[in-house]
Amino acid sequence: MTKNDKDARSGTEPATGDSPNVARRDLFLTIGGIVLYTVLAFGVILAMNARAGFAMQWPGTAPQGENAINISIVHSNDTWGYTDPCG
Amino acid sequence: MGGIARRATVIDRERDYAEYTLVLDAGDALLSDKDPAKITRGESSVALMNAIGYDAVTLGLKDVTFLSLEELRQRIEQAEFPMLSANVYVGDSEELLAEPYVVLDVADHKVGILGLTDTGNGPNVTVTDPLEAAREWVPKVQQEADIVIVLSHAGLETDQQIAANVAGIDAIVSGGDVTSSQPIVVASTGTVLFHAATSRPGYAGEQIGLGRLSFSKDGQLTDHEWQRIILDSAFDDDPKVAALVEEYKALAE
Repeated sequence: MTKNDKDARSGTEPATGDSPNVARRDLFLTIGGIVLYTVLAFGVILAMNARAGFAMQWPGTAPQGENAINISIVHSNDTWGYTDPCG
Repeated sequence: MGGIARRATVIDRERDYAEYTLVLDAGDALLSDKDPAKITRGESSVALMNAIGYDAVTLGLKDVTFLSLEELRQRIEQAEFPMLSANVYVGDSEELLAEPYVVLDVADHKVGILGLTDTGNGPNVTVTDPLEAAREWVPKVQQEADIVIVLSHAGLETDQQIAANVAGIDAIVSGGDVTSSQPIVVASTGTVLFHAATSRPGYAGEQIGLGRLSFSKDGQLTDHEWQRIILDSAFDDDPKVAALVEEYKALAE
């Protein structure tokens, strides 16, 4: 039985929708859902960044004015024609 | 760590992310002690850099001393990118082996890239002082470009001397066997230096540098960030480059 099954069953118990306990439980479930969603989303973002291997953002000062420009430079050195991973 | 197919993946990701990307190599890219580069005399290296779409490569001393003049000219002809050096001369002549610089159009800007090689003795070439070459050529590049990048294998110490003594350079992409974990900004000129990686036998191409530079409308460097990226298993192989590697490895067997 999953937690959701248990929750669903508990919803059929004698307490009515007018009960403060039920309202409180619904509030807790809603808040819990939001927290869970936030944590999961944050985890996914962290995992994606880790996968990318780099997460550097653009310099804080955006280029200003017409013809201002951002250029990325990706550069290698001393690769010696090696093709495969080393070590 | 390393591997050119992973390098291609990083480069493609940056191309997807950034508005404009330049892919540069600071020298000694063609060959050393391993196949397929060794047996193909650098042909495999140029073919792979063609596949990646390098924008410019400077010649390092290994490149110009390990290869004959004929082989060097073949590699320069084969390359779909400019192979640069402003201080490598054919034999004892006054003929430069390669183009000293290239000017690339990037949006509404002209980006001049000057190549410099580390000094040393080669059987077929004469390599002159890179600092003197920078003094001679940077003003010429400035006449055609509003952004000036020096792509140098002269070594970090020499490159800092160049940055301090030659005005008008926005950035030096430095190569050679001494590296720096952080960008170096030379106070007197504002020139910034990046140096990503060094190598030793059996271990080369393990890292790559990523600089992001902002320029004003008149080509002044206004901001920069840089990081070294270790090419570990977090990066998948680029399938096209990996397939080409396998082709050349099969040829080498």
